[in-house]
Amino acid sequence: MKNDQTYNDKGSVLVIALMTMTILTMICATSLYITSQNTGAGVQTAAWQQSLTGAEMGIDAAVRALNQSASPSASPNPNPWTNWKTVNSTLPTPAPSSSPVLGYTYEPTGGNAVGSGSPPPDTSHYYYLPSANLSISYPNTEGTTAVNAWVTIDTWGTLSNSNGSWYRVRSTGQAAFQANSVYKRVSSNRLDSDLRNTIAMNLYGGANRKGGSSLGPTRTIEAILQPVPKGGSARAITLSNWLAMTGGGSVDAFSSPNGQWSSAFRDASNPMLVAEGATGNQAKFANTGQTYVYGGVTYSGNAPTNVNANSGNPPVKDVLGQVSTPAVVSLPTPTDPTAVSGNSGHYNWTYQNPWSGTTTNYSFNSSTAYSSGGVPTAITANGTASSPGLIIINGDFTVPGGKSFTINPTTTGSPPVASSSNSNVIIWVQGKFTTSGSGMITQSSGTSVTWIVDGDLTVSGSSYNNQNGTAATDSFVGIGNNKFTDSGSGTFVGTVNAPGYAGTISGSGDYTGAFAGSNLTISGSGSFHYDEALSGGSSNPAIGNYAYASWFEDNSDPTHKDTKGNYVVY
Amino acid sequence: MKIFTKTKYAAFTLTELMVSVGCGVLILAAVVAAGVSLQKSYAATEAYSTTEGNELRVLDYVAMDCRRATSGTVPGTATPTPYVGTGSFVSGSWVAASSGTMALILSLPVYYSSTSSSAAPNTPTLSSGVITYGSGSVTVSYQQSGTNFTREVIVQNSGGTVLSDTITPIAQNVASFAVTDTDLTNWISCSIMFFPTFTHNAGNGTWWSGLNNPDTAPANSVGSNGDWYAINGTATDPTTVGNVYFKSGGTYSLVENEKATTVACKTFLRNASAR
Repeated sequence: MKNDQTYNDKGSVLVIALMTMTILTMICATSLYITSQNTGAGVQTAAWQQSLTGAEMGIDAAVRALNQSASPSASPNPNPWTNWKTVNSTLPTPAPSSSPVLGYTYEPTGGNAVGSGSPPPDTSHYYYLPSANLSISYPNTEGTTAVNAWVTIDTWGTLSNSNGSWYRVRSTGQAAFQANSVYKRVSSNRLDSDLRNTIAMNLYGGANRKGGSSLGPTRTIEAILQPVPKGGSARAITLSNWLAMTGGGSVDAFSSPNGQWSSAFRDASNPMLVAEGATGNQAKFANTGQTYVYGGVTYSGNAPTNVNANSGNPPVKDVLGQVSTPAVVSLPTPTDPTAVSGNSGHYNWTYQNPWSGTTTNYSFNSSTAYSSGGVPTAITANGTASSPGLIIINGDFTVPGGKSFTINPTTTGSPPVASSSNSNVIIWVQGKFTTSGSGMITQSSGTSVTWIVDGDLTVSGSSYNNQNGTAATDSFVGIGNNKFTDSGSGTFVGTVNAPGYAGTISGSGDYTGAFAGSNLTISGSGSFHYDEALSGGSSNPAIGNYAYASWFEDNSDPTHKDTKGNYVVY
Repeated sequence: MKIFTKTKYAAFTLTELMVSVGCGVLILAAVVAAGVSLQKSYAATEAYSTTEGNELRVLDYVAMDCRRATSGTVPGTATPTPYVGTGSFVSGSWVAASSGTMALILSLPVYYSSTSSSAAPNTPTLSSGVITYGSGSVTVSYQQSGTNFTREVIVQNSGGTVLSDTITPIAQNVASFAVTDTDLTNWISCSIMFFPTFTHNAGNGTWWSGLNNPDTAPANSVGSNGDWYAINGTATDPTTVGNVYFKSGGTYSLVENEKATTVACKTFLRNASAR
């Protein structure tokens, strides 16, 4: 019997199928992994951007609080420090570590509420605004579920300038993920993780360096805010165009008890002194190995020649303070008084002081007019500060050699005593103002004079004796586009506000006060001294607001290293 | 007794076999084609994602550093920063070279202590009306290196000694880098062009970029067959910027519907203005 039933079936199909399925599964898994990494990188990029908006939100909150504390307002909330806390210590600045410190790397806790009307923090305290007041959440979403920020304000020491304390504002923003979010995984690209500060999220037990136990990228901004005094925008020398200093003089600022300059009263903080609106190619410092400006220069256009020169032996910088650009020069244009229709001798005049920023409306119900050649040798200033007397000179006003002109105060009592509160006068010269040769104008002590000049203005310290010794008592207001000339060997004490004038200061005499014009050439050996009392004084000036002095984004992370093992913190 | 067991062997006919083989081939071809298409699509998506990541990273880096840049000098020179020029850093000092690639050089505040490896922050100081951090200098330079875009960070102490000099390629596949429309005192405008990354065209040669001269096609003397050419911002005709050419048979021809990608940022120098 033949029973041929040999079968040779080999079961390779199952193996092949399993292998195929395995390979396909691996391909799919790899694709999904890479895709999810890309998605994660995209989400974290967005989160990183959101954390910046959070950090900026904190900075804005601090600036608003500081500004409101400087200039209180009833609305929308009279308390600038609502929800702010104060901590009785300095802001800690240790090195970041795996155990971050509250107040520096982590959100501060504790402290007491800052009282309404409190000033900004002093050197032994810091303020902070908790994240509960600077957060927005959207919990039922994919990706980030909230943006939080917290911000601190401190003085980091005793550093300040004549305007007051400067403040360090450090704000940290964080875009937070859910605790079980798949996006807590960082990108597979180390470059992204290094930049966006996300690699630490998988370290320290899932904690972010700056965000405590919250997951998500953080960004910190450290801004330094400087106080800006109330008052006008004008500086010591404010020009819609340029300044040229070619002689041996210098420019500085001072604050003294009696308003008179001495090098002992020089402002050593080197404040911004010179503002040039459009330099073209004319602005310059001669760079002869001397200091020209004991302060800062701001300009628009071409940089003045030698602003940062450092010549001489030993080297001396021409400008000791900050040189910055652009300069925003916005000088109000003064105008003549206007006659009141139907009322002979009545005038109205509105004037804005560019240094104090105050605007005053004058109404003159009477005035005294003189012809160009009929001005007496002496007049009396007889008015209050808000209602000064008005004298009109119909034409040029010239005090030639050998002649004199005296402005006397109103007196009271016997023997007579000058009453400074009743010795204010405005003299409107409807032509040129000239003193020449040995001609002399004497402005007596106790008087306050404002000259409105419609033509060229030629004066000198030798021919204008301001016996008050303070610049605020002698003001020249130049109308139109003319020339200003100051020469001689005496010290001129006063201010010149002539935005359209081309100025020249020559000779060996100093100039104490301030100047605002179109351009100015200082060619002599005399120096220019800015009296800070003109803009509110330097000892305790009223702060109008705070401005940015520095801005830095802290993108550091102690875990960042490059491929060579170097820490990458910038 | 003879037991006769009739074994019946069944088989396909030739016609059936040919039909089944044909169907199988069609199915396999479809599967292979689908697989290839999926692979290409995946590769293209991956390339797009990678390129987008490069673009975002470059913009974020440049914008962040411009925002926090301050005034300083280019190491080894008296040239003030921000600075734009051609050359490179050698041992921490800038060496200008007219034939070099453009670099954007920024100075950063010395915010972190150079003596600590854990990013300890320096406290600010006020001097002459200027806020400064620490001593020494931190200089960041952005520059194209081949098809990489690099960020170089040079940290020096107050004596000028280089404490660290780290170059990190932060993006690949870069065609050109330009800093334009800037006065370096208020704003900095940067643009970075990336070569397109496509997979459905033939050729895998070298990427070139540069002036389209004349403004119709790149010079055929450049490169070899299989090379690509992207027109960068130096072209006299701005409408040609981004055009992509492929060299075949010794001549370049325009690749339709393909453009190089350019990303740009215009960043306000906050420290310059704040002061």
